[in-house]
Amino acid sequence: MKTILALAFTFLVLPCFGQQKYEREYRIKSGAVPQKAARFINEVFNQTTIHWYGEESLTGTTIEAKLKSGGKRYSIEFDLSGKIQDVEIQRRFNQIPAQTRKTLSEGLNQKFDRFSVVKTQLQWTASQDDLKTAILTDKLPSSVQIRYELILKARKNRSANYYEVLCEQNGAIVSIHQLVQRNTNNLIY
Amino acid sequence: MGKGFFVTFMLLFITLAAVAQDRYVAGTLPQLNINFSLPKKFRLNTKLESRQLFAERGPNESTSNRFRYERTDLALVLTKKSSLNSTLGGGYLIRLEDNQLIHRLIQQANLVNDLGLITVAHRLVLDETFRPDEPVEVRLRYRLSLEKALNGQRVDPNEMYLRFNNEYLGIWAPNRTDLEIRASFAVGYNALNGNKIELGAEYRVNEFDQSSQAHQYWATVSWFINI
Repeated sequence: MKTILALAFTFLVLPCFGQQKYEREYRIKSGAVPQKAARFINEVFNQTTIHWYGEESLTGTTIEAKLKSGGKRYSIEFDLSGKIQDVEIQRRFNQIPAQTRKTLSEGLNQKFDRFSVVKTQLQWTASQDDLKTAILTDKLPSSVQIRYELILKARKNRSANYYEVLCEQNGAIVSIHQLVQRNTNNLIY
Repeated sequence: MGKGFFVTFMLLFITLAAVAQDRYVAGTLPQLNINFSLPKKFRLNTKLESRQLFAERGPNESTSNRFRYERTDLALVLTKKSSLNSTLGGGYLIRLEDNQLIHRLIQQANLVNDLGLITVAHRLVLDETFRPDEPVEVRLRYRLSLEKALNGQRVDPNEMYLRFNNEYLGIWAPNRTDLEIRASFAVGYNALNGNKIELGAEYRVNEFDQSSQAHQYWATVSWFINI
């Protein structure tokens, strides 16, 4: 029995060295959320179910609140002290202004052989007070930086992958990251 | 905990089968899956699976609680990604049962959709089984799989998850037509390197062409290794 356990441990743990990217997302209880973050959410959103997540990556750990309010899906990101980082609101790609879509599509056509948009999010970055105003009134203070975050299914050099694309309000591409696909062998075989 | 789970599982299913007075077998179904990455997005899956029976009852027989090794399967399936979330594949299975070798050809298609909170997978398989001195048996199988992370929205490394499978198998041979239904539930652990271990239970029922059905109750342990 001990031999089997040792073998299992070896197979499960040893090949972990030399992994390419470490990113982990996990559920956290509302009681463990930084007070500042919880206060912001409670002040802005009433009577809605809030799911809190922690996300660890090589660049650090963030806290994220996911919720649905007024028919919109929000993801609100905080740092570990509870300081707000950004607000993301799920959109359909065709809800992006036409000129932005045109510029963005032209940029993506240069980067990829072909692509399709899987998910689109409007991203607001500003101070806590301005973001509160933006969410509550739908009138954007001029200080709010608007960007769009997209998940693409795209083909480049005959290889298809998922990509995360961040672009400016005018459609200019800021960054493109390839997403690592999860292993689903247990669902295939 | 593992021992307690197994005993509870066996007692539960043996009791259910005894109450029903149908034919049944109950036992363990360990499975080792080794996946090799090959060039040009091909993958080779080698699966070793065996059955050990701990309780069984045949037609008009009393229950036997003696241990009996039943069979071992070795399957090789070569798959290629046909899109980002779908694969096509084909393979061969050889089975050793009652000192006889049984051969099976396999053709399969898969579609895996990540829906955010849950991953949904579809598998469609057509297989042909060749037994000595018996006509070829053809099966068409459809399996729906659901996978849910136990912590957070996605199954990250070093995290546990739940998996549920439901499969329907149409079976055709010149002398019989049958249906088999399978349902399984497992708790899995996703290691940092993507290797997985699943511990669960599986129920199968078939022989709908007979006056009473045959039931199978399995405690399953599956180990998925990537190379």
